[in-house]
Amino acid sequence: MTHDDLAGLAALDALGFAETWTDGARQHLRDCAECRSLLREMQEIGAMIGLTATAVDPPADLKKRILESASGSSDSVEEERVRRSPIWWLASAASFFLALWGWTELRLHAANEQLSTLETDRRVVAEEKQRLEGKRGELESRLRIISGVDSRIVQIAGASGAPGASGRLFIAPSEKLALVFFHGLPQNSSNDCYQLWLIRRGSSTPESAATFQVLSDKPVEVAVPAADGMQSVETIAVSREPAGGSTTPTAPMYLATKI
Amino acid sequence: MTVTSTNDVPQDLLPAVAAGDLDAFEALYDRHSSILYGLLLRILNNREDAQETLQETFTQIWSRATMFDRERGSELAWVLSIARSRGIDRLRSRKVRSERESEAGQEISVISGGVENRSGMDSAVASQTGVLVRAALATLPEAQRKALELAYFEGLSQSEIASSLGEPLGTIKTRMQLGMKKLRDGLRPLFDK
Repeated sequence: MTHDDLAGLAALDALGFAETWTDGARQHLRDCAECRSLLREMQEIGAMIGLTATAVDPPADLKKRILESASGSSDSVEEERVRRSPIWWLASAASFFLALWGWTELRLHAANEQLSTLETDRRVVAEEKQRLEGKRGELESRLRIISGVDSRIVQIAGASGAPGASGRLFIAPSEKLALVFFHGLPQNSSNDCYQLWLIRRGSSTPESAATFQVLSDKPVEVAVPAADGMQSVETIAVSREPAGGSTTPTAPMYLATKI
Repeated sequence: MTVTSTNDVPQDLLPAVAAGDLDAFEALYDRHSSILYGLLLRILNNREDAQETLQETFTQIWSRATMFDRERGSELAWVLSIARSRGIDRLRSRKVRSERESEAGQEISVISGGVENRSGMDSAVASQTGVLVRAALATLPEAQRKALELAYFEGLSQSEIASSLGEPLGTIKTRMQLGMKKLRDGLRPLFDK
């Protein structure tokens, strides 16, 4: 790298072509005061090319805008200085702790609300759990009635009202309910229902045990109170009665059988 | 090295501006705004753009005055460099080359019509220096002067200049180097050795 080489680089650099510099040129510049001076001179000349443009006064309002803008930023500098003062820090610290207190209060309030919501949820879950436990107990009872080791099954045959119908009575001595499943009973209308009757030993008066409706072809399940394991029941029968049931049978029996 | 274009060398205002002196900033504006506005009109060929860029230029001068180093160059060169840089940035961003051609007829009368409307004693310093620079530039061969002007006023890269003039890149580099050296020779009286 010679002085002439560097003069060429300095000329291009002055025009904004700084990418022409190499490591060797930079090293030469660090070592050569004459070339550093030349570079500064070239940069000065490069800038002065702008003086060949014709000078023109800018609009007067532009000066006003520029000075106002500078004045505004000067105010910002002053605000920054004040912002850094000890009083500002004290105020800032107070503001910070006030904000922290407010934030904590808000968080506490939110936590209380969340706790209340969780408590409500807990109650709902507990109620649901109780309901499901009752359902499970009921299902377990039915399972015991149907498949218990001491369970008894009684077939119920269709009578003159519904010769194709049938039923199956499940009795478990340890349970307080008996279950009856009916098949093939004609569907009810909105004006009538089926009524299940029990005729106890030594009695000729049928005792209403339940009413139910058949609304599809599917089997119907009916639970019958059986506090004594139906030990006292001699006959079980089903008649078709007006909606809501009757105090005594008013129509022919659809199903009947002796237990 | 300092510019000593006249016996009445204006005092640098930038140190006071760097200290936040608004009066000094106003004086700096009065001193340089005309030549900077003229430069931006030359680069941008559009009054509105030139005015906005002049505002950007003085905003930058105000905010970066602390970076001015008298040992590295004159105040005038420093503000010219900022204005030129801002102007070229805007020129490139708006991709105005085709617009410039269409607007040339409208604006050229203001820029090259010789309507110098400058105020203040300090502008005279720049004016006298400008006369010397123009004279020195006028002595250059057309090809060298054209290459320098394309680089300075249009911000073209060396490759773009080569393409624009239909010359090899090496030829353009040589022209610009020779042109700058001749300018330096022509402006040697400006520099205080």
